[in-house]
Amino acid sequence: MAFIHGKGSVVLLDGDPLSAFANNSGVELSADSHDVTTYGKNSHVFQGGLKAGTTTISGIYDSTASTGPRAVIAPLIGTVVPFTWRPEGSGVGKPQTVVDVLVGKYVETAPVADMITWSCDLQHSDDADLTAQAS
Amino acid sequence: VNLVTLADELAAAADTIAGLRVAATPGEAIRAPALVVGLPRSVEFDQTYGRGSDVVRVVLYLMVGRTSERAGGRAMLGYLSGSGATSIKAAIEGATYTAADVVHVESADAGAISADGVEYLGATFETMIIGRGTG
Repeated sequence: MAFIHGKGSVVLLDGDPLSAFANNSGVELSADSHDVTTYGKNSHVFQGGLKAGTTTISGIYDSTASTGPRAVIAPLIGTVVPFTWRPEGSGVGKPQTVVDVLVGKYVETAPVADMITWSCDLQHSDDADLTAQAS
Repeated sequence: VNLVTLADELAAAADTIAGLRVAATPGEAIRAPALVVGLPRSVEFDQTYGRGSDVVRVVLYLMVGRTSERAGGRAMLGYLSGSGATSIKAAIEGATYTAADVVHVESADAGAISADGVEYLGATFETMIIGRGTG
């Protein structure tokens, strides 16, 4: 076991690499919970339901016409595309999350005394594949 | 960010100001009015994933004239201006760079600057540079 730095993280949206423009990302996996408590119990009893997930990515805006965040993400708003997240970077045996996502929101923010930044929110669609990288 | 190229490009940008003697690195003899590109105050690596970008902070040292000569005040105003033929900010930000994507002169502080045992009327210019981590 070892602590891992995040600087080598890899994010791919619809196959396009966004890593060079991103400085934060997070994948949240969750599930519905159903209360199945019956009479006679002293505590709630729960059963798991449908799984769900969301992902957020953010970073520094880049004006590169064909590969920058605006060029890649904005056209995908409202569509479902493949997403790959490799928190430890690329490499055989390293973890990754592969899932289809609905591209729900893309935000650009331009403060007067700082860099333009961007962020996007992704809603997972169907099961996430958590199998480690094979190649 | 290639810091050698960056220092040369910052010096070249300042050198477009008529009459200003410019050095890309400290150590050369000062003949006022002069501007010296300081060594980086900080280099912040890995601002985005995968060596996508770095932030470099550099101080530019302007020496207008010896304080004992009590001259150079009017020239100083031109160097400190945000625009105009002798504006340091305009010259630095108006240049084209290969070693950086963004060069932003954030602030200037006027005062006495000592170099080689001589005190000059001068100013420091805090400059923020963003460039490719692998560039």
